[in-house]
Amino acid sequence: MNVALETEKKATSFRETYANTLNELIIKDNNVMVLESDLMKSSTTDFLFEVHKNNCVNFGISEANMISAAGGMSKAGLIPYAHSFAPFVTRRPLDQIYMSIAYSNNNLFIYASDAGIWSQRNGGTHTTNEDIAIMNAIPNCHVFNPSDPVQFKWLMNNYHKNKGFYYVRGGRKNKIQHLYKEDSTFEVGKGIVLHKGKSKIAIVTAGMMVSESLKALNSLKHKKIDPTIVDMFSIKPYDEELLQQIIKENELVIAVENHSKFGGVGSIVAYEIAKSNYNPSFKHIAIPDAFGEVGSLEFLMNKFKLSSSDIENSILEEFSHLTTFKEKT
Amino acid sequence: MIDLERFRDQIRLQTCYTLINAKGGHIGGSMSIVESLAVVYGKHMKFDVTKPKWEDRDWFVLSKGHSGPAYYSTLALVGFFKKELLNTLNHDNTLLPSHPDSLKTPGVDCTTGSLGQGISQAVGIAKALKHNRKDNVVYCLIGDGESNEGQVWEAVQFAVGQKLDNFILLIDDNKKQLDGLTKDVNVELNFDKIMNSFGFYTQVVKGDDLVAIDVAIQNSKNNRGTPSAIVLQTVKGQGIKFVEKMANNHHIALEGDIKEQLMVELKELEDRL
Repeated sequence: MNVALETEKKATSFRETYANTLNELIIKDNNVMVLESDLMKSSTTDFLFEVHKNNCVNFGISEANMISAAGGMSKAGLIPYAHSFAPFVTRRPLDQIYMSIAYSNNNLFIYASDAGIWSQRNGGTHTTNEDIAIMNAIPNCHVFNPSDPVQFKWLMNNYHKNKGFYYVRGGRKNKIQHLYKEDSTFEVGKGIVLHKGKSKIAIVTAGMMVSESLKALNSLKHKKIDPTIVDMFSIKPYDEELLQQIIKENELVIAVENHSKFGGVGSIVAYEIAKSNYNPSFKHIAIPDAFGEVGSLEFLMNKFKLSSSDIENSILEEFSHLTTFKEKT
Repeated sequence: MIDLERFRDQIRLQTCYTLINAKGGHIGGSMSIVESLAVVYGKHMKFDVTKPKWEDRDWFVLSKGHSGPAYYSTLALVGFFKKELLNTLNHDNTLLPSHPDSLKTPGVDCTTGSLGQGISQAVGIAKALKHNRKDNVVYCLIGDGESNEGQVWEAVQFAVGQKLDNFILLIDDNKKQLDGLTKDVNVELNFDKIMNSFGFYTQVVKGDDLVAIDVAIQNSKNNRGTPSAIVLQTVKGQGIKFVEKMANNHHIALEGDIKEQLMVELKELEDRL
């Protein structure tokens, strides 16, 4: 792992990153296959269907066939990357994912776009608040929630190098500020301590909520509260060692995620706390047991209390309850 | 050249002994594919038992995975593994699970059992072979009951759209599924019309006619520009008279009287060999 933080303003959408990285990969390796099910224009891989038409397959609206066929392609030596909106590469073809990919030990990179509240204007039918929970329960499936385009690109390259079954969720259209410098390298199963704070508070987060947590950090610093921030982009496998260290060193651990409160980062953190010999307070900022809704990202972040101010308020609330914090800071 | 009639009888006999040893299993759908397996593995498939993953092999996907016992007997008879292994079907730690598992059994190309997925994996393989400019053939065997699954029709559309003329789909049209006759459970499909209308090069043959199956496969291999379908008019339990007559023969226990009846028929088969 060799991580450096981006200091300049630089923003890319996940879909640009996806299409451009595939372009680079295909030029390097003719075995790379781009699989779409009538959403190439949504992922902007459509230009690849022009310039590398032999490496691109549009299955039409048939995700079940796409996933199982990807298994067959993998068996025959190809390296498939499949994209759709998150519900259509999780809930819909779940048994295909299970048997044709995971159980069969086939290679597949799934880019699940518009996961969680990223679905925005597509609304509740297209929202997956549960995708991490679903995919985490499948053996052989690596689950990632990258926080920026650099990490996303690294995952695409790392899958190409090491093969296996990667489930990668994220945004799609929205430009996302680069958090990491372009040449940063990561490690599957390793978390990143983005900021080592002085208060005995730690935020463990992933995906879009990493940048929200960093915003909360800036604001909290003015109030002399300095939480540690961990990017847990690798959700399965996850960094058990780092989590145990965080649990040991902090009195308040907050899990923050754009996902249901069931079965995501928070569940993992709570499990690790339960396993440990320490007893920090645990807070969880996540989507309640509820379906998604239609609206702007801002509306949805406020609706489900996922904004940086929700993170900040949550910490302040806990802070006022725990006198030990006051004494120590 | 392998004697196909003899090979067919060997597969049938071996499959029944395997099932008797397991005290029962999916006999109906295993029996109805015996002739197809005999012709595919006895005459057409390109494979090397010493190198099951040989890159220049033809591929076979048993999409109706519950017919595993017939598949395993065939693989053992051509030499992918020792016949003794057949006696471990469904046993603890076996290499021969009820439904085919490509990570366990030598010679098994794809893991199947969840219906509808085998055909999709098979078209994926066929597409990959085209991509790599290989002229190998992908055989895929599906059931008529299995065709209730919507995924089968997704794969069928894909095979036509991608012009997968290296894809030969064998349809075991035995008119029965687990709960009874296809027409009573859901619907009896006219595969000849349907596959033709999708754009498959379609042939209909008697499912117990080795010569007809052989000719149909040869025609399919010669066909260019479209995938091929061979509709096999079969009988569930084919080749074992008393099983053919049973109303429900999808999965039966092979003990007591039933086992005795089966042994009588197998004796006749054995004498013929």
